[in-house]
Amino acid sequence: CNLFSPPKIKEETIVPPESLYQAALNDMDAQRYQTAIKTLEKLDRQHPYSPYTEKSKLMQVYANYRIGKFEDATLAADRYLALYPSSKEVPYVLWLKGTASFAQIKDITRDQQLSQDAIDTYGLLISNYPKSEYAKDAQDKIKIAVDQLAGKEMSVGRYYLGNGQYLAGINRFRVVVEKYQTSTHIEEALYRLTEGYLALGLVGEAQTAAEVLGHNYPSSEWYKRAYELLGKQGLQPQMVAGNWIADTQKKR
Amino acid sequence: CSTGGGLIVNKTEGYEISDDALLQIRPGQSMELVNTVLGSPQTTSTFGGETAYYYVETKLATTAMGLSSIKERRVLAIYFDKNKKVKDKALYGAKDGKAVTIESRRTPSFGEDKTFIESILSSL
Amino acid sequence: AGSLPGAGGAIVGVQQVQAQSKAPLIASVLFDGNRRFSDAQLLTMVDTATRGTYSAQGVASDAESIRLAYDKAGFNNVTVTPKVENVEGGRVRVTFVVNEGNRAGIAAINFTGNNAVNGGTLKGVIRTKESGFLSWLFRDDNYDEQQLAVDRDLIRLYYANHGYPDTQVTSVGEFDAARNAYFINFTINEGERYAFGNVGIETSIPGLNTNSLKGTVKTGQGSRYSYVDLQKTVEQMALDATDQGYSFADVRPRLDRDPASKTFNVTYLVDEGPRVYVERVNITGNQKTRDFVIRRELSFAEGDPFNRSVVLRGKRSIEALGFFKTVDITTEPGSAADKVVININVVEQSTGEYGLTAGYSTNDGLLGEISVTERNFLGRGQYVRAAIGATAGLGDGQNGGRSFDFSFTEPRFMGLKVSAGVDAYHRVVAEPTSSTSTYYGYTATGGQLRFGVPITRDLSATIFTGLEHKVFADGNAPTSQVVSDGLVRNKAWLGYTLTYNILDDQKAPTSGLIATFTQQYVGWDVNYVKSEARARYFIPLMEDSGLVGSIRGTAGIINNLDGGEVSATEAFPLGSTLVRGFQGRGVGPRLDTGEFLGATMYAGLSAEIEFPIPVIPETYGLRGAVWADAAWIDGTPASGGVLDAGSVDQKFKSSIGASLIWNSPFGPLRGDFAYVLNKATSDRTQVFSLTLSTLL
Repeated sequence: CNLFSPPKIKEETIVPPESLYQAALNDMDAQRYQTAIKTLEKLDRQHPYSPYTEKSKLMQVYANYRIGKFEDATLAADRYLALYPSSKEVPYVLWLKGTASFAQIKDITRDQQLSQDAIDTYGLLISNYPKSEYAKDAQDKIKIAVDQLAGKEMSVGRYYLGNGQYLAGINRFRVVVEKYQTSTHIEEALYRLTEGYLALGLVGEAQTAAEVLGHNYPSSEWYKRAYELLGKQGLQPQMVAGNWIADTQKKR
Repeated sequence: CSTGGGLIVNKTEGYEISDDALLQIRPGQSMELVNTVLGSPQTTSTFGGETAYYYVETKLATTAMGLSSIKERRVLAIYFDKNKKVKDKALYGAKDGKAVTIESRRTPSFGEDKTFIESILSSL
Repeated sequence: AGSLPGAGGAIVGVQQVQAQSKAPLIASVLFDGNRRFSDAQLLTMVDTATRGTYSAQGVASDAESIRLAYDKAGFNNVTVTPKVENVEGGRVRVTFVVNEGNRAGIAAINFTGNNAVNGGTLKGVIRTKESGFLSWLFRDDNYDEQQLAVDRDLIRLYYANHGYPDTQVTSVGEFDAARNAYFINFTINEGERYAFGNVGIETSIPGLNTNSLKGTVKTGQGSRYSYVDLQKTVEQMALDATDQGYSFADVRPRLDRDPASKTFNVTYLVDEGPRVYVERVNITGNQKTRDFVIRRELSFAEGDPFNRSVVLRGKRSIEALGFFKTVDITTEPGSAADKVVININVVEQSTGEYGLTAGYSTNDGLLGEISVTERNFLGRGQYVRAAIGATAGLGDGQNGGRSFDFSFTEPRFMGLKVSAGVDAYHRVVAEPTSSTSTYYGYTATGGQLRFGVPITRDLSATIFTGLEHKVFADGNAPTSQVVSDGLVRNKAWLGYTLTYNILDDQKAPTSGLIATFTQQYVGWDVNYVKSEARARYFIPLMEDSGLVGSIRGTAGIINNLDGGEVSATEAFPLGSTLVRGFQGRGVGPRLDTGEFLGATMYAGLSAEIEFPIPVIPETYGLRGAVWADAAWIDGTPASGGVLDAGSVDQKFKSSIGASLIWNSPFGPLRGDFAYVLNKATSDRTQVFSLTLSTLL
């Protein structure tokens, strides 16, 4: 019953490495990345010692990235970095690997492991190759990835606040205020702290949080909201003794 | 067979502040003593070198449906002076809590969120 | 065709000299003689291919990994010989020649020393099975040492749950080369049978009164020793204590054995666990499910007390969502001695299903349906289902038709544990041509809103309200005397259902009770109240025999608020679901023209004993049942025709019979063979009927 049995592997004809590599480049120019990757893998298999293998492994990282196969791109990048740690293409491969994780970042209500991977890879790129042309872009992308981590803390904090578990929420917003002061969520975090403290009856702390928000971000709409919120209780933002937020802002 | 869970379930959220431990806290005591008597605080704050410890205890009655009503809430704040000695303590109750409607607008954030069609296709 | 040993050796020898500089390159890696595993599967087990270079030691380790894979699949006498041939260009072709030999099955499994539990039950307990004609599909007849060790534990656990705490189990397996199969023999030393002596609860927590926890005890005095009952009691008691506000309650059982009376006296010690608090709950692995959908299943928040059984209950309710393959909860120390961080890692599974079902049922005939179901819509835990169906009526009383259904449910409406859902449907039921009991078809479009409200752990309520627009079709003969062609009937209803469920298992219950009571007011073109009650009680008969007895009671009544009886279109369409042995729409009032009316009042009782079929192994999912049904039908609905006296001359109906139940992928499928004892003269009976069996 040979008809149904899975295909037998047939003998592969040996093709010289340079023509394989050239075929792969042509495929890539013609946007046929999938076949290009197959050809490059064939080159690796048939000619493990040829100088083309390094170029082929590099191209595999790029090809996988281009067609959105991000896990494969990351694997190919790791293989390249392990085999050729001192090659001049390392910054490019690091950038490709970081951007592969970056492209998969999910919204803040989901696991942010990919943001963390992007931060780690870009961090490696910036610290080892600060002058490389990819460092600048890595810098910007790290900011966004870090902002995602802050966003995740905010989304969990908002869940607890909405659930009436104010203290759990306050602790999450404190993480944003202490660890992610440069993120875009800092203003909202301070506003949420005002809400949480008010709901618990810690009026002094609420006023201080609003005051710090106003002091650092006077034109922020979150400050406007905090001001109104306190106004409803006949209070206004001011520094009240025995409160931590002011201190974290002064250190900056 | 066991009787089904009662209609109302009593729950304690947050710290279990025992009354006698509360009485033992007096101004002038060291931060370590507070840590051993009350346990480590749920949240802390420092302002100009002065720290404050916070413990919150909420006793709730919740129905199976998830509706819960606060039976009692105690918010204990302990303020320390610069050399970490207890300056004073404050105990707030549920009545001190201000009614706050949680702001629904949020800071926009990055990240790919699948639309309806994509989510159906993705589960193909 | 092995290669010439001399030449092979020589070639390899020569290459060896050059090897110091570079190992010879591989031309290709081929496989021969493999049937159980495909070439592609074998290629993944072999790293010579990816390495691209030949080394004798590398090839040998590849051959070994292939042999291991075969061994695991039950091929115990497989041989794998690598063949190395030189190819032009100084390269080497490696061919792995596999000689599988045939699969060694398991000829027989027998037990000695098991006098309390019969061998058939024990065969059901262990995972290794004897070779049968379906074992090529289940592959459960591999002789595998680790699996046997697991089987020994399964037997020990089974005994520990059925009164024998000190059972020792050993197993030995001999290979019979002639039959190429194993004989496995389990020797069991059961030890003494123990029961539970007196049971006490002691606590050191001030203010906790122990008799409020008595309800959770499953290890009653005199009942047989059971390890699983002990665990369940411990856990449930800890949960009940935390529900009374003692958040650090922790329960540990203290067993003291009394060999004289062969009993264990159990004292449950309810004490305060360490005062540790949850500092943070990290949830990872949720690529699709949103964080709050998992977090809201936990009954504690960050900053709350840490309680082992409450965390366990959280883990179980996350698993009950059905969105995850695995849910792992680990704890690590927090920033202070009395703080702990909980890490929840989930591995998601696909929750979208595309259904294409085709089937036959006695009431509707041939039915087919295409459906899209997503149980975790947009990662919010919402349920969405859309289905298009068609039925082709074959037999009498089955009318063809088309249907479109849409259903959406939000499990946590407004953040509460209340589920809210909406259903919409459009049904076209064609006017049957050859039917002798229904003479009209209809097109109905409707929708319904429903809210599920849990009241206690075992009692829940559903409130529903909806609208329907129905147009009847009676174009061709035989003309119906119940409806006129083109008659329009609009309905609006509001109702509630109370469900009390304490079954021990929702899919295959062996004990407990499930009961529902539904009442709905239906208005607009009609004006009546419809009430129905159903209850089924399960009792295990004859310990460990797998016999399950059940008694089911059903009753229903329609009270027309405008006086008289409601129209036949609104009556209960009674048939085989109430009392078996009758056709769908086959029992109760009927017109002299044969047109079926249904009834406005019924009551039914059914007793059944379900049993496993001894000969057939359990993995086929076949069970048998014998039963007796009885029903009383009254209340003739209003219609334009003359009532057939023969259809109401005997209000009491009864039947006895036997059934075969198959646990099919679509759910339990039942084939009922029935013998009717009492019926009205013009009731329509049928000996065999095929239906999807439901709990109630």
